Amino acid sequence: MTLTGTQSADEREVMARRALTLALRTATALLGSGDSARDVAQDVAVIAVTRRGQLRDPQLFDQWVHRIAVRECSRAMRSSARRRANEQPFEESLFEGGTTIDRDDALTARQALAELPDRERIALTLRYVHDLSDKQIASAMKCRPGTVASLLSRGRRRLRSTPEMQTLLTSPGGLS
Amino acid sequence: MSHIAPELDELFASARLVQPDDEDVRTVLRRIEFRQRHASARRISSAGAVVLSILAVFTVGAVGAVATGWTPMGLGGSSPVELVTTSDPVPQELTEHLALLRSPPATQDRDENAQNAAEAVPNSGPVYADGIRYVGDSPFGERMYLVPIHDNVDAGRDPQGTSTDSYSAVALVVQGKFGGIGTSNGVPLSSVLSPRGLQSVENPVVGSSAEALRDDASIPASLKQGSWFSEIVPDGVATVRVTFPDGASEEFPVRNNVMLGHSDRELGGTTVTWLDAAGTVLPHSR
Repeated sequence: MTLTGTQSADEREVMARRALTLALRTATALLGSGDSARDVAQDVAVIAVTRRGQLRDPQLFDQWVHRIAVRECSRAMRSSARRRANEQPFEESLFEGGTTIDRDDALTARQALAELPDRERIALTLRYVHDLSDKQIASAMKCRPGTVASLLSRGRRRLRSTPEMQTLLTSPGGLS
Repeated sequence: MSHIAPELDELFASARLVQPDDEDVRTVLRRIEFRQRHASARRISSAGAVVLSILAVFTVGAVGAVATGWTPMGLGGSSPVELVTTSDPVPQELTEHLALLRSPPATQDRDENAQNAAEAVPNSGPVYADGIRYVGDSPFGERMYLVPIHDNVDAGRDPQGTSTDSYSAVALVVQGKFGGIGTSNGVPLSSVLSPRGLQSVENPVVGSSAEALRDDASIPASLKQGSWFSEIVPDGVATVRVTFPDGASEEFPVRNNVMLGHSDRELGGTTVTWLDAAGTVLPHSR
């Protein structure tokens, strides 16, 4: 993608669509497929295009969008966590006394991912949704590549140890 | 890619395939337009409190540029973007194609609205401040201006125009309480001479001014719906024929090198044809 300081309406739309697509994929993986992900993705795209003048290297547009997306998704996840703390969430009400009520595997997987620390979820998302390298993830998360490797490793290990994933691993036709 | 679990792979795979719908894209574009206009409005409204100090005078090639420092709050304020004006004459390549820019300046080209119009062009190269010309009023009673620009590919991060990859451009800027029409960004002269489609499409019912527009009883309801579009066209073009994706076409008159149109039709894929005063089709590139 070529960026210039002055865009035609067509160029601006191309840029907005690109940013929106990248951000929506990240937000969907981290926040689910509802309106929250759409809202965050739109915020990211608006920021990316309106502040494009701050981007020194146009070739790094995608990386830049990832960085904004990480920041905005983190903010949304924190906000969501606060809401859950103040409200009795419907999804958690499905678990009573440690017993899992019947639910589909996709929802179980999403629950498992949601239980990871935010930074591990983000690192896994950038790797498995966008196929980014450790170095690219590090740039988006503003940390060192070694930290990314640790986050990915811990994230995978922690995922496998969650009750939801254990359920999946031991269920008929599951993962074992 | 290593596999964590099929369900998680599926979760990530579905996220990998997500595409925004067109409505999301349109929403983003409207919000971008709103932010750019809002940032400009905030600069203008605070002009009385801000001393526009002359920071530097640059002479780059044929352009002597004056930077009047401001930081667009709406853009986060982390990287100051300077409005740059130049007192140099408007380049001949612009004036030879746009009669309005050849006309001597009138009082209305020098007033506060005209000066504010320069600030409404975001991330542009130096603005030819003496070349700003009043086009006329919009159907909403707003004042429209043509703003000539010495633009460059690095505009926004190279506001002084030191880039050697520069070009002449012109923007249609609307100053008023609604601000729903206009190109916002400069249109390169090459695009003015060879348009690929409508240069600007706006829906004034969406955005910061929507509420004010809806509540203004003096504006007919029909003008509050649909989309507005504009074209900056060279001399000799008297009418712009717009052909819509459904095959229908409408003709819109040109005044002072500007066509302003309104339609309730779908505008994606719209094509543009130029007609002279006799109704003869003109080539786009001359």
